[in-house]
Amino acid sequence: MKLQTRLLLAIGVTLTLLTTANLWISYREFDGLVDAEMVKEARNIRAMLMATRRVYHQQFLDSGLPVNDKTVGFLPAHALARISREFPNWTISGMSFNNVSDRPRNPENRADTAEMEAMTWFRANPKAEEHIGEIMGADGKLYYHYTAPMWIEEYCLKCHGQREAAPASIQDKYAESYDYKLGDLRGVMSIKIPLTTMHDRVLTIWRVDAVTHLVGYLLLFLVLAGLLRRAVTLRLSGLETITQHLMAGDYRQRAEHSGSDEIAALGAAINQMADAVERREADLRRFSEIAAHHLQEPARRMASYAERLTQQLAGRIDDAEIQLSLDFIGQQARYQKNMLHDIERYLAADQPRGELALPDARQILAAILARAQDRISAVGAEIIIGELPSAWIDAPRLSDLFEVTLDNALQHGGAEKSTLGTRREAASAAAPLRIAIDGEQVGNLVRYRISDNGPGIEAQYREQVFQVFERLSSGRGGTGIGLAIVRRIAESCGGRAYIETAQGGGCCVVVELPAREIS
Amino acid sequence: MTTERHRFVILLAEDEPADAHLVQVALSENHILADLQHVADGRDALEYLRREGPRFADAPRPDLILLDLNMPRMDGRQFLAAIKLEQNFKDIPVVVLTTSEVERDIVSSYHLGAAGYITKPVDVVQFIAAIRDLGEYWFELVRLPDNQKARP
Repeated sequence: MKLQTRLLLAIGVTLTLLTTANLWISYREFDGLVDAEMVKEARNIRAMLMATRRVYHQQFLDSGLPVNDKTVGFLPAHALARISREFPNWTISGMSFNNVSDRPRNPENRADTAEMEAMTWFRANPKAEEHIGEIMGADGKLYYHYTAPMWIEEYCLKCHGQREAAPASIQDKYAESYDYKLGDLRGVMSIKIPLTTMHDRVLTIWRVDAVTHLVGYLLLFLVLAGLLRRAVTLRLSGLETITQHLMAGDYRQRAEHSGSDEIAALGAAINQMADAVERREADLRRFSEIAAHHLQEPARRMASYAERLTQQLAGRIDDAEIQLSLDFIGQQARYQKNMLHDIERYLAADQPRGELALPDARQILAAILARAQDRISAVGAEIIIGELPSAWIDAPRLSDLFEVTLDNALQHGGAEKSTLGTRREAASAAAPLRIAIDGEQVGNLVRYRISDNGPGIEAQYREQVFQVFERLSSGRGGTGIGLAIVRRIAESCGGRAYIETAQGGGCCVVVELPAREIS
Repeated sequence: MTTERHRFVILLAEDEPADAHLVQVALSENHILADLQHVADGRDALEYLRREGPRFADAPRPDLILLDLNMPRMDGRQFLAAIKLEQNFKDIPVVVLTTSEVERDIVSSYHLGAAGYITKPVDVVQFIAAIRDLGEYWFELVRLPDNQKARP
């Protein structure tokens, strides 16, 4: 996995976990806050209601007011129900409350299921001062249900004790709800607050909080990703490109390494390495070139003077051995010169020897054929020239390409030197050597084909012949560098060279070159 | 054009006696009656042209320079660059003797204004032929009329 992907994934996962945890915690906090708010509100209301009840009860008892149809409305048990009905006119909170009982004198104050359950719970938990739950209202909405127990106290019994002891008006008006016992639980203060409104409020606040966090973390992620890209990824891929250039032999490439961090240090180290490699490569190259070049000179002179000696001694040598020795000296000096010459060409093959352009391949080939006319005639070869599109290369090296491949075809496809047992003789002595040279443009490359009707090259040797000094037969005067030169030229231009079977089974050297300048 | 002929002067800059000898042989085999002046390197060649020092005080102006490339002190490429800067000598045709066509291409890519190249062949016969071709060409076409030669 790429470094950038890995780091971003790690950062992304961390931030996601962080965000989730954060939002969960904040949700819990808000939820708790709402609960606390609701409890506070319910308690306040309960306190207010209980205080009111207490005051009105006392007032009733103290005043000795008879309970009749006109005064019953002052009784807290009645008044609270009405206040509860009136309450929504003064607030939109949706809140409702009432004092309810399992044995009410006012039927409006009969406890509902939830309230009865709360009473059961308080009887089981007599020390509890409040009970909180969630209930489904008659309207199908959820409510926060706060209940507080109303235990029977001494003063309650004044009206709810024995019937005979109750005020006359009470005895007259109510037949039920007597014989309450001190410490009985006969009712609860019930307060219902709609949950949805509260929840909506919480959710709204939480959502704003969530969005703020998400946007914040997203921004943090983007900033980190951008930083990572700029400070690490892009610079590393830049260094990678440089090393690839160096690997491809372009030793002039250098990394940009401003700054003082580790990547800049790596860039500087790569540059130092490139300097060293370039220097060493240049030294080696220069030494090879000079050696190949300068060694040719004495070899050539030796060959020249051996020949001159032969001329000068013409008619004066009667010993065939002397003549043979002289011939060998000349021959070997020539061979040495040729080999060094090919080495020089091989070394120079990866550098343009003129301007890179689209030279006229036909014209270049014509010049080569003119020079090789004698040899072509000697072999009796037929040369067939087809289409020859231009490729992006310097003229001297294109000339080398044609020269070497033509030379190769003449040497190995034909029977130029009959004394040295050629492939051609073995294959077919009768058919004349035919060499076809043509080319085609395929997309962005030009493919030249130089094929002969000789016996061809076995598949297992087709790579070997591109190696320096690799020959498939001895003698013949070849140096074994020709096809290596061809491949080096092709590859340095961004192309390639290989051998395939020609139509009819001969050898076909294929050279692919770019059709236009490579940017 | 003048009909007056004078002996054709060739200045050969070549450090290797064996090669200088071959040029001499090639000229005589071709019956080219040229006055061959031989110097051993580019610096001597420049001093020759400038007639510097007692050695070259009376040196005849060459009609053609045969220039070897690899020479001590000042090589052929440096010599070519130097005489192209000298008004008096920049018109003298220079034929460069090279060891290989690789060398030839590289030198010509410097655009130093060589009038021609002879790649020194292994074969003496070929070399003689090359010098003959050269002689025919320059005798007939390039030998400058006296009035032009006198130009500063």
